[in-house]
Amino acid sequence: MVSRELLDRCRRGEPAAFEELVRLTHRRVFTLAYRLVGDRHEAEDVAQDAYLRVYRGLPGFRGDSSLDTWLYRITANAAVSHLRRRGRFGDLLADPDDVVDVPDEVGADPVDKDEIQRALVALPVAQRTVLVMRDAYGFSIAEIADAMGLTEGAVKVRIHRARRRLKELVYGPAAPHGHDEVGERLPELAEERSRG
Amino acid sequence: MADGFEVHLATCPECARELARYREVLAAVGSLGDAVEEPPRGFAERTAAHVLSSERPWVGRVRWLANDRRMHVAAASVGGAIVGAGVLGLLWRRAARRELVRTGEAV
Repeated sequence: MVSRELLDRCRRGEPAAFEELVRLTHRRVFTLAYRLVGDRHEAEDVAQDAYLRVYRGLPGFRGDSSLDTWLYRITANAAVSHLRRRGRFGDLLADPDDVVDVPDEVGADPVDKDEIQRALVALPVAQRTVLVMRDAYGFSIAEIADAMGLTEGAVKVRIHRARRRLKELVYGPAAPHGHDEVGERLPELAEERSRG
Repeated sequence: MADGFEVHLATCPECARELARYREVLAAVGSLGDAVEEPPRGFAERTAAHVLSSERPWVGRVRWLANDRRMHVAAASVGGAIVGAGVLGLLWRRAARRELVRTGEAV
């Protein structure tokens, strides 16, 4: 837990206070970076870049949002910038609907964390990024659109496809039974019921 | 959701199972937000050192001052005082000129 007093000391540029802030928050920041870029080494670079942005932005941080939300937003932006710099910007903006290998064995309920992490890594970068931001960290559609330079409509479409792809990676594709129209609505219905 | 859609879900085991799978997957993704991936050893220390060595300390203080509301109030006060003094000076100068003119006419 980061106290208001520690934040004030960070804003005043006290090095020891910033070190303490990093010590208290680095696990969550690193984890988000890792979930977004899918590689531990790259996640370290992303997290360092995020903390540089945090350090520069701290004097202007008024606490309108929670510190966690602010840190996550900065980390997500740093991850998107990183993917662009690494030439994976194309992946990021593309809306791939290419075929991903689906495991032969159908997953059993419930899905465990390792299984879902493996499936996430198998997703195309563009889909993984929106899915992690939305479903794991609760970013709003507008925040994701802003971070990725996409329209909100494009983000919604990408989230829909990412959920469908992830479900297929874990359980395999749905057996065709002539109810495709209903099937198209299931990812959103699942979200509504999960949230509500 | 439309009633027909709900009825369909209640009567179609395949679609109901698919919905349950989506919910399982979403719940698993949601749980990742709380799970922590352990960073490499020494990561926090390296990161703080990297940031602090990249930025000069006075830059942080200048940013802090530039964002401090008290500084904004102080700057506005000083600015207001300067403008006020300027206006008073102009009024005083105009009054002095009038006085000079009046004295000249009297002479």
